[in-house]
Amino acid sequence: MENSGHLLELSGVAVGFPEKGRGVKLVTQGVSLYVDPGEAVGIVGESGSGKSVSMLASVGLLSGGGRIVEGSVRFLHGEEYIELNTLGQKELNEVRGDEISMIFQEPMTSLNPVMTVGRQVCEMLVLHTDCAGEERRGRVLDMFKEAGLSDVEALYEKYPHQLSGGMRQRVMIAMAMILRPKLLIADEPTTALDVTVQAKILKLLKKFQTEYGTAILLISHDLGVIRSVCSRAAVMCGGRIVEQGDVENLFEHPQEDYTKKLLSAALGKENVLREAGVKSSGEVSVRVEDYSVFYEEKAKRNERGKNRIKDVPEGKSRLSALSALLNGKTRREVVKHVSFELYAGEIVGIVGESGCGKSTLAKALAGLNPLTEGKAWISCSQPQMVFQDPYGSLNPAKTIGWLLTEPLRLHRIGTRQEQYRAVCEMLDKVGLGEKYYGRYPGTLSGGQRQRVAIAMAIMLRRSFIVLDEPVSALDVTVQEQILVLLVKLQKEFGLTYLFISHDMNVIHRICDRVFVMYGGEIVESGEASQVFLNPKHPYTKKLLSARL
Amino acid sequence: MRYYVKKIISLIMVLFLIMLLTFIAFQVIPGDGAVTRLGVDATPEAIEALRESLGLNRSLPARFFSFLGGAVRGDFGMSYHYSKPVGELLAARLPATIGLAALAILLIVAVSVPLGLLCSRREKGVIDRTITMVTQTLMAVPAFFLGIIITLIFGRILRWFSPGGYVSPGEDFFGYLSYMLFPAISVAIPKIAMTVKFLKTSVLRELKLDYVRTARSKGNTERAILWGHVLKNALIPVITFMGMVVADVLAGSIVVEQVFNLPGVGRLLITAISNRDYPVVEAVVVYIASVVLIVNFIVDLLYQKVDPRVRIE
Amino acid sequence: MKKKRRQRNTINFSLAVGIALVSAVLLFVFVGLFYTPYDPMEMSMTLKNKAPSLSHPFGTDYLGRDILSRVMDGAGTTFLIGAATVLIGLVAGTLIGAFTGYYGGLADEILMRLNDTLTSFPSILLALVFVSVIGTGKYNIIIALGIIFIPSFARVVRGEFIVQKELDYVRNAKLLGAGNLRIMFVHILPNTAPILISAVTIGLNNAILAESGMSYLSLGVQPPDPSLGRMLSEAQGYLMSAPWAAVAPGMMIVLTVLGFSMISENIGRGEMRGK
Repeated sequence: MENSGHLLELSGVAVGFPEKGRGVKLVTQGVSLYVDPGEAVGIVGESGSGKSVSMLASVGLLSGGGRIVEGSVRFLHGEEYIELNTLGQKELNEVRGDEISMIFQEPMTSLNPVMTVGRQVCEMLVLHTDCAGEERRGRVLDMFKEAGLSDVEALYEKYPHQLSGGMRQRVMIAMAMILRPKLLIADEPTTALDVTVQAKILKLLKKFQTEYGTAILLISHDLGVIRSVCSRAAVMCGGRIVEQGDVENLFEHPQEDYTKKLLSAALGKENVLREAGVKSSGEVSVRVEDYSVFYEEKAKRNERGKNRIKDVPEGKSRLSALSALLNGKTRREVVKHVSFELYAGEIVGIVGESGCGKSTLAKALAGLNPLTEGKAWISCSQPQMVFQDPYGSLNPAKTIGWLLTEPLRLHRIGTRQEQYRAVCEMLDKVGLGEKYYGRYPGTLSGGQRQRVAIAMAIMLRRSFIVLDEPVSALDVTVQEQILVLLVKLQKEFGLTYLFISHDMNVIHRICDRVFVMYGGEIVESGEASQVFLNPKHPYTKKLLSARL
Repeated sequence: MRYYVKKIISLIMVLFLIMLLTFIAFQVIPGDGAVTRLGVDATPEAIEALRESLGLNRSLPARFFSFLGGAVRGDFGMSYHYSKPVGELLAARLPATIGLAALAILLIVAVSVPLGLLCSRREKGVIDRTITMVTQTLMAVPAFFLGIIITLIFGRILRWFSPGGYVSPGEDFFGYLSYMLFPAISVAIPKIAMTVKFLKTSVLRELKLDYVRTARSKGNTERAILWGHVLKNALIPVITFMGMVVADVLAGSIVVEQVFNLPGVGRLLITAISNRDYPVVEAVVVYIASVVLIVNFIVDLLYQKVDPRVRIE
Repeated sequence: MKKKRRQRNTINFSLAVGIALVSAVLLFVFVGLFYTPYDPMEMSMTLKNKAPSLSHPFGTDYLGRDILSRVMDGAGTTFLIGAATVLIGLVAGTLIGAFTGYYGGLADEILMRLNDTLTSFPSILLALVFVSVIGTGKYNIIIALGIIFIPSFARVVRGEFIVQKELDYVRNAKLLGAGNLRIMFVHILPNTAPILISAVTIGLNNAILAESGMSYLSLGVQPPDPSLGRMLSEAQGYLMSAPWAAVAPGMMIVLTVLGFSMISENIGRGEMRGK
């Protein structure tokens, strides 16, 4: 076979899974791609586009019987090419780890929970080298330092659960890089990590790429991640590569519609959904003053916040603090003395990383967390909420119709016929229609479920709705549809939204104003466009720069 | 360290609670120990005298504490039926029960671990299917029915052992073992079936986890992955399960002793219940409860040892 | 692909066998309630220990009683006790599990400690203690086993409630204005159904095994009530001359337990596949 100089070459790869009944279900088709030595190549696409599957299949790591049914995967082994897809198990094991290593999305589950991280890294040396004893240990410790880990002696003896997510991923990288492989396949290596940690991990990958000359094949749904590491990239959709080329070229001058759509969705470039200068009536819808929310290690049962004015008297909070102390529970202040106002008809975003307190604040405002101090006044009784996970927020044992009728039933609104009509009307409004009345949530897609969840939140016609990461669990294209729906319904019913998200782009597209939360406090607030164009707080700048 | 102290204290407290409950339970039973022992025809004077000598006339708390004090020293009073110290009766019956349980547990571990691993390595293969089918059927066979079948086939037809026979280990150790073997098999077989299934499920569940993929990506062979990575993880739930199996083996031996006519603690319990010989029942219940609790305690310690995630520093 | 196909077939096959076995046993028992070929109590000196024949398909026992009729009758008793026991355990266990799981708190902790201790003891031992306190007989066995089964149901339901109550659909129901009782029994309870069905079949098995074990030890159902366990213990004395007297009731227990376990197994597996 002629030597093209490529390190890894996929040509016409089709991956298939055995299908129940008969035949093979193809999940990717005609995937052709190459990686040169020392080069960083990205594969980008939505979940289910086949990007991970094709790479895992190439190195024989697919589970569930999936395998390459067509095409070839060639890898430069010494001077010659070997065909990975026809290689015997023994030969494949010699290449895996030694010349091709991998890191995965979830560093917690990807490490063996009952083996010390030192031993797990050491295993690479045991499997592929002759070095032994102290030398082995020394090499592992050196590698830990290389990977930016400190206190390596103690770390060697630690178990994965004792480390933070970022540290775990560094351990994974140390493990993958200790033998200086020719190729590193990184499958969504930063997706499970916080924005600020993400950047550091990517930097580390780049460092190893230049220092060790390791080629990187980076799989991600995040265009920003791809752009910051790779020089070339391929865009995958529906099991095929739709476009590939130079990163700069690809991102600046996309040729294919799909790439354009993906880019504009990610960049938030597509015209902002809210017309500029939508002025609200100026009427206050929500007023929060000096509001703190606490979290107990063993949270007590939730109470419904029915009250119009939720004014927690001093005495009560002291009492609950005391009882918390007596129960041996630790009380942690998750939201610290925030104050803000929302005006009727506004969409206001709260943005921040996981753990910054934004979700806790949202739940507290909806009355789902009784451990609060300070004032929160809401113009309507019992605001409604839409949750992140469309699979958890609908009761799987009930039909869509039953679920949407429940609020009417609970508040004794209308007769049976009227209820039925109201539900069908609402189903129409969220773009589902009457035919979904008798269906169970299990038969719906994520986007459809989220439509039902939104319908449920609007059924009672409360003017204030809290949206807690409502599109984060959805694919980019579905996100788009839901955002459009939300804006439409907001106009139609004159709603006020508090929109919680970790995604700056989503916030940018839908919100009039935005609060940036960090460590339980609001560190910056203002008109969405202003905050995005001229971020003032360093944390906001960091969030924005991590974006693309 | 503090963890262990806490564990031991809670162990002692539960034991105390069990003794209290057992004691109360047998105090509320209608009927009188003295009457039981002397028969309904006895004169009131004789009954009164016996009540006095058995300490039945003292107050409830006083009797409980003397029961407790005795129990700690291994003295459970006199059997109504045999007119012998309960401790002595129990001691005489222990060898058969301990031998039966120990042999059964040995069989369970020795047979089910290799079988379980074999099944999980060849999932859906011929061996796995056969073993799955056989285990599922065997799990449905109650130990006493199995005992009867084994007696019929190996005892009566093949004459490999004489049903109902027993020699004490002191007299003839190998003879004792041979008498223990078939009862132990009857107790073990349904549990082996359960353990094989449990271990297989556990291994298969682990094999689907991400860390196995990582181990593969490092270039481990399938065998190295199974022994080096998966087994330790898969055994964690099995440890808890084995704790339950030990308790079940004890329960199973109560019935199987009856089938094979072995002079064990289980038979003692059954006869005592039929004879309303409450001191003996109390003693056996406390004994079995202690064994179960101690086994659970050991399981807890093992768990700590194997799973770093629950380890207390 | 071929492998996958065979696997699907076995799952359905094993479920089908389970359902077939249980239906056959249930039919057998049901018929036994109204009709038995002979009077199960009728003894006959001339028919002692007769091998299976056309007139006595399962043979006769040491008192010349027809074994088929006795198995039909005895299985009925066993089933009745099993069903009553599971019902007690299910109802009480579900209530306890639902409240403790949903509310948590001190009562939950105390009950669960107690529960853990109780469930770590083999149920037959607890049953023996109960029986030695309250006495033997059909109804005492039902009470004893029923009470003993409460903790395991409570544990299953509690575990499920603890998981479910943290799901967003429960939060949603709260926001819509549903009360705690409505959330517990209208919203959450239906979601525990799959796990409860599996617990019920396992519970039935345990109850059948426990009852026949107790009766075998002559501490369960007392004569003249027939029972499978008791038949086995009587047959043991005549093992060489009339092995069929042991085989018929024993196989009845085995087939019933096997049927239920095949069903519960496949329900459980179906659940896992669904997720």
